[in-house]
Amino acid sequence: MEIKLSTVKKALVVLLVVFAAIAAVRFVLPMFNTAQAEPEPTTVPDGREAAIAGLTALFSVDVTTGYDAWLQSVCAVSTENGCAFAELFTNWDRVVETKARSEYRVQSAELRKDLGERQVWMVTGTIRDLNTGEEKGGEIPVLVVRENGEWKFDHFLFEQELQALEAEP
Amino acid sequence: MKRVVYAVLLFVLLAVSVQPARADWGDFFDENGNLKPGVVDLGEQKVPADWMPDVPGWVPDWIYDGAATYHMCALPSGETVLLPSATTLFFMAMNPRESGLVDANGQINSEFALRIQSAGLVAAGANPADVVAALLGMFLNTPYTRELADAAIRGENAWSVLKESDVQNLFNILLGATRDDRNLYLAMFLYSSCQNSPTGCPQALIDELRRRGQCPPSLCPDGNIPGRTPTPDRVVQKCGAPSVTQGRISGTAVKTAPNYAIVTGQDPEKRGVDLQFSLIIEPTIFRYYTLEERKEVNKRCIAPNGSLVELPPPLEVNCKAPNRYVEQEEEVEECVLHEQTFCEQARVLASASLKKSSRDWILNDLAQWYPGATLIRPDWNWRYGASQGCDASNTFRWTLVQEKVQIRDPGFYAMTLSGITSGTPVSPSRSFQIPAGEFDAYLMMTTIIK
Repeated sequence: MEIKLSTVKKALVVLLVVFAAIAAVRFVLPMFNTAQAEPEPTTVPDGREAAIAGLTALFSVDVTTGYDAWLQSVCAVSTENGCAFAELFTNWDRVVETKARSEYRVQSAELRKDLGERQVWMVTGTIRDLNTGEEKGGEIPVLVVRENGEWKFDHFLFEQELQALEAEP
Repeated sequence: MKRVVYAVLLFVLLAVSVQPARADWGDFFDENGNLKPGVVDLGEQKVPADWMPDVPGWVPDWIYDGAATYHMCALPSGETVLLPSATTLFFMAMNPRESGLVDANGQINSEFALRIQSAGLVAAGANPADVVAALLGMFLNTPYTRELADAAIRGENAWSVLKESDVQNLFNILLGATRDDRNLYLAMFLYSSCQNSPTGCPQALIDELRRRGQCPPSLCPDGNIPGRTPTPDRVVQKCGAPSVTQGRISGTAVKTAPNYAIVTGQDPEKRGVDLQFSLIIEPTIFRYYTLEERKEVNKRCIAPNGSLVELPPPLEVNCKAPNRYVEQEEEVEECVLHEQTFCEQARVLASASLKKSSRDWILNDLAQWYPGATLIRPDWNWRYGASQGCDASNTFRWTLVQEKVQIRDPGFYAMTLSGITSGTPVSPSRSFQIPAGEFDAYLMMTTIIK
């Protein structure tokens, strides 16, 4: 069977072939050339995860593993300022004196203030004393900061800091 | 002429004797900045301070205890130099009134002279705003430290004036100042007496001054207690060692109204709930003995052969010839017990926290009936507005009334009182956490009874 095409139809077929060729170059060829493939977009953890990770590291302490291990775990998920906060305020002598071993678990986290590159999260969680089983906890405001596209824990906010932030429009 | 000379001499002596003892920086430090011999170095002292920023009461004290930290040095006469840690100094500058940096009139507090090392500013008589601005300038790279200082001196929340970008590296700067020996002590405060200083007179100072036999009457009103004469060891052997009994700390918290409080969302009149917290710290009692000599008259009735005659009193009447009545004065030593009481004050945080069972009920049971039900404000903290003080018996009493608290989450709340005490001259500071009571807040629910 012979297929006869009009001039207009021929032009359409040519256009279709050209379009298919462009599409093949743009989308199909890169599949065979992994070196030039664009990276898959990765999920950037949001401030919530950073707030939870930071508080969990900060409040989970074990006198038997020592100060350096604890500080390292905090600094791994913190900004430089957050790492300094942990080092500045922690009284490790008190940890040794009370033989502290504790585990922090988060129940909920709610975004309280979005300041663009900074977020304040209200985190509700419980600290469990691994020596006695006693639990205590509550809600605490946490500041997280985005550095190079990655959210990191900075510090838990003092009441006066939170009041100042909440007063902002 | 002689009379005139005596009169002038007497005037000069009187004038000298009424001059208050006033130490200077030179009494503490030599030209190289080293402590002079004779100065008592008391190391780090932590004291509770209302003006340090607040965190929820459940935050472990090993991560933040709300105490101000100073390195303390004192002269035997009681004059004291305090060197606040970098963090303490920053928070002092942010709260200049509450921390005592400036007095109620907004002037540099006359109780102490202030020296800021790195700014080279000796600030007795300096403009308070300049001093606070200089302090804040050490920590914050902001062009508006004066504006910030003015706000802080006015008693406003200085954090509100700060921009977020200014504090983003704050703790890093404070940590750097703490680590660097040259900048460790940025400011020094000189107090005319340890009694006027925020740290008070720590037991270690009193012990050291006693050990040196230099404890002034203002610090050791009973002399170099526990023993004056004879030696303390002898007193301890004969009478017993001195003892300190710290007063009991007790607290109560009650809901005073209404009988059935309902959560804010169902309380159109915003009645809320009234709470009252009370804390009592009983006095700390210091007991010690002194050996005191007492003259005793020894009355005897002696027979002609020299033997003692036993007679009922009064001996001087009943002892008759040929017996001989004799009175002999003898010195006897006896242990005298002394008791001193001290008031132990405290920085107190009142808290209410929704119990775990109620939290679980909201997040599980209630969330099934009302999807999306969650905890809104399960934790409450209060510190300010309390009435407090020491009464005549040296008992510390602290009461806080909170009216119309707008409870958001229904359930049972545990109320606690926590904090840290100031200690006393004979006992160290201590922390406490007391379950003080509980209250409930109701949620009205509609149920269809089939």
